[in-house]
Amino acid sequence: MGYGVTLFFYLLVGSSIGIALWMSRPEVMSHPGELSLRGGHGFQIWFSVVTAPLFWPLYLPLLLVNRSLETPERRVAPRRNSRDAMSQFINQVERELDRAMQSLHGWAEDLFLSEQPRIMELKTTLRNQADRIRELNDLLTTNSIGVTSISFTDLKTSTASNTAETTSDSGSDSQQHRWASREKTRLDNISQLKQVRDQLDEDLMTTLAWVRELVTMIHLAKYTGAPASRAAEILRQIASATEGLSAPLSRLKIPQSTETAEKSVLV
Amino acid sequence: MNLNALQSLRKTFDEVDEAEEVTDFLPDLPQDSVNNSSTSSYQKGVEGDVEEPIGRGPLALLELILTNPRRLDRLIRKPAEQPELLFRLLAVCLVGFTFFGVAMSLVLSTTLVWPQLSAIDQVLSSTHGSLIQFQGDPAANLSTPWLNGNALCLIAAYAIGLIGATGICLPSLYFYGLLAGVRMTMMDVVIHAIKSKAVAAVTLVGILPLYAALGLAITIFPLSGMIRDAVLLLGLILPFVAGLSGTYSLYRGLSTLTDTMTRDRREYRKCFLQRLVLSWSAVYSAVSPVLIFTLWQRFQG
Repeated sequence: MGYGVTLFFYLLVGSSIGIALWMSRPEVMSHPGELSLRGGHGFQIWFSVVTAPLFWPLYLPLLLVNRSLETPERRVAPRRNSRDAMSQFINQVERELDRAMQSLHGWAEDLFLSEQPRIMELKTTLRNQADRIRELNDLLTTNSIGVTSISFTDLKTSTASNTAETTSDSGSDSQQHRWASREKTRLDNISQLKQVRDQLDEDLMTTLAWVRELVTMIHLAKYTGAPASRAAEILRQIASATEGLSAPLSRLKIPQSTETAEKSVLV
Repeated sequence: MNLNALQSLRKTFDEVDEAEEVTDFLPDLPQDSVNNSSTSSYQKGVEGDVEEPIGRGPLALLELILTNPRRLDRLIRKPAEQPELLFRLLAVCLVGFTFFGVAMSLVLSTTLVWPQLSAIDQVLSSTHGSLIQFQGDPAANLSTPWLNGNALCLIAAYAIGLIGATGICLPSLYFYGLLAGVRMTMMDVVIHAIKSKAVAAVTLVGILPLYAALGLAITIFPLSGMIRDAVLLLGLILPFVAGLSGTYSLYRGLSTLTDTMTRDRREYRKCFLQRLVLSWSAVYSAVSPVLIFTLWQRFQG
């Protein structure tokens, strides 16, 4: 194979990787139809598209890491508020946990290696929980679901003024009743969402506090000359802390929709 | 746990967080600077290492490379930071090496001498002859290399060759890392390699003024052709001289990964890691000149 052919295939592979990098950008993933390279990562995208044909071996791992790490959930969830208070709490606890794990060196060396995956799992669970709370916060604070109620009369007035039409009073009463009923259910659901958020938040904070407590117990056990089995026991407790986060929603009663409730009454 | 307790817990976290961030890095600091309360600015600097993200400006990463390489070593280990850092480090490499190419072309054009390249296979088959010969052209002037494209060939060959060779040598670095027992992903390998190139590029730009002084000397003073050729040759191998700082940076960065090993392994594998980084640098030092030379020759036709 000559120089020209090698160069052709090299550039071909590089161009493909450049296009793949461009396609895997978050803004492109969220708006697949738009052929736009603008936005916060604009420079990075242009830079990668231009340089990928030449330096694609450097970009290939990035592309593979992107695809393997970004689960659909992560792709949807934006990386907002990555340094908010909750993240800082979790970072703090993780640091303390890491330091405790490091203190196992020379005392319970085998434990350090064997429990590392479970500790990683705990960290992931904590972060996932924080992500869920953040999503719920976003949902409840932004205008995504309309946390305030709109009265039927206001809606009717604005509709009538827009369309310049009048409706009969008899029809209006039954419509108003149905509207009020559904609006009440909607607000109940939002209230339930708030409860879920509070519950998740409380569970997370409790778990973090518990992990911190156990971490200090590891240090205490080490410096009071406790056997390595004691460390194993504490680590098992830390690893099992994720169980407290796994089923917080089961305690909450999820209401049925009005229509479903009405149908069930009729049946 | 009630809400009041949770609020107080959050406050505790806030307070402890600030204190811990400072003490996290105490082993790296001289003890007297830690104990001395008057060194608050130093402590702020350390705290800033954790709290402040890298600035968005084009010079922010450059500043980090020059002033706080340890922080850069920590940052490149964070998977979330790696994609952005890869782009930015690559940009630093490209700008640095392009800057070198422009400077080298300027020196060559002012001396009215341009290197003539011979094919590697021809040089190897013949008993004598050299790969590069500096030949002066009486008809040439300052702008000739820029107009006939020779300067552009040199700039492109160095910029592409130095970074491209890193791509070629990546699998060997990954393999060497595994041999040393360091747990790293391919992405870690890429980011460490590119960081070392960026450090080398910054060092190269740093030593360019010194070389420019030498370049001026051979232009102004009537020196013998041998000295002139030696100075020009030194300029062409300057990226490899600067690459020593990149090698050290690579070693320092990979050394931080030894915390993925157990303590006893770390003890006897650290010297092994040193040798492997040295081996990789040797491989890179063999590959990159060949790649640069080949590209340069092809570009010049």
